[in-house]
Amino acid sequence: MSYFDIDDILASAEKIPCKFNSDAPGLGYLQGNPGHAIPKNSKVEVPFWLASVLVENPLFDEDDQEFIELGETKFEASQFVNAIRASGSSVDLHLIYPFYYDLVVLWSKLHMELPSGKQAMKLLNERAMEIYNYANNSNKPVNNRFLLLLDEFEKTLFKKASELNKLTKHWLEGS
Amino acid sequence: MVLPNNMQKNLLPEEINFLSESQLITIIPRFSMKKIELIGSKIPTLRAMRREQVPLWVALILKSQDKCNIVPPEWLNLIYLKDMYEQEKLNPLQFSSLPYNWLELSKILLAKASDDVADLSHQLRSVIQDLREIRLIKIKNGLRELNEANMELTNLSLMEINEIRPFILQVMGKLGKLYEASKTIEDEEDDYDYE
Repeated sequence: MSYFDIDDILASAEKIPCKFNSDAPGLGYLQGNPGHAIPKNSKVEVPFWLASVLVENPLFDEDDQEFIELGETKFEASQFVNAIRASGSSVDLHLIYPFYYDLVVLWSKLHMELPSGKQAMKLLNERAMEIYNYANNSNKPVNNRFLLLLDEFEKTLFKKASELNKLTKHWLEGS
Repeated sequence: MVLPNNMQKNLLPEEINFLSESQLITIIPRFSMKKIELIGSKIPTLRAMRREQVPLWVALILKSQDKCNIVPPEWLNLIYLKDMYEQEKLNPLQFSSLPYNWLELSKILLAKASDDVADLSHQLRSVIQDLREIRLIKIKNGLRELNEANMELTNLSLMEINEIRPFILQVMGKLGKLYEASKTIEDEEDDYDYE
């Protein structure tokens, strides 16, 4: 993780679900309810950077309960896991989390026992090949649904691969 | 840096082309010339009809003035290349052992000295194209096996590596990060045991 990496900053601004363990006065705007308190036990989506601080700090001194409890993110949901198992290249990462891979890295630092890292590696392997395939044919008008499913990191991959492919082709065909 | 991003950590195909022009190649000159000492390499004394090794760029200049014939490298013929193609088909997990700059050399020689190559140049071109395509397919399939630690590149040429380098590096970098992140507490204790 680098301080100046914009993708990293954007990834940590992704919202993740969590549950408040106490009333939080004045924070109602997080729920779209400005001016009011967040009642205890309500489920709210907060940005990752906020959640990661809240979940590590106890509510009171000498208390083992934290401010919030983390809920299940969309990439841990069984729906998502099954979708990956069926076909990694048809999962809409862009819709789920535009910074999926960065978020998984951040998330795994909080939850060490979860398998989401390995799952993301498998997914990346499968999609990398698909991305390379598409990038190699990108001189034709690209009008494919697959490109809309890529997360931000995969988009940079695609750009790089198609750029290089273009250069090499240009060299091969030139005199 | 002022260079655009894609030129910073990677070579352009044209640059690789340029690099391979310093490769030595055998020529049969049609005139005599004293030797010239160059920085890094030299042009030996040339005598008519006596074979000598000179850098490819010198050979190309002489060739363009019709002052020499280029002896094509021994791998640049139909029989050898077809044999390589068969080998590529037989071993789907290996690359055949072509020289590290086979693409550049064959392209240069076919473009500038096609009359010195024994076989018909369109046949050579098509078998080179076949070779390139079958190797590209293998590279693509290799992407599926990519992991965070290592990658096998045996017998891949500079041009082919250059073509995939930024892509592979980025994927491997990300896989490495994910791998670090996916280590559970027990894994880390296991690592500690080995030390």
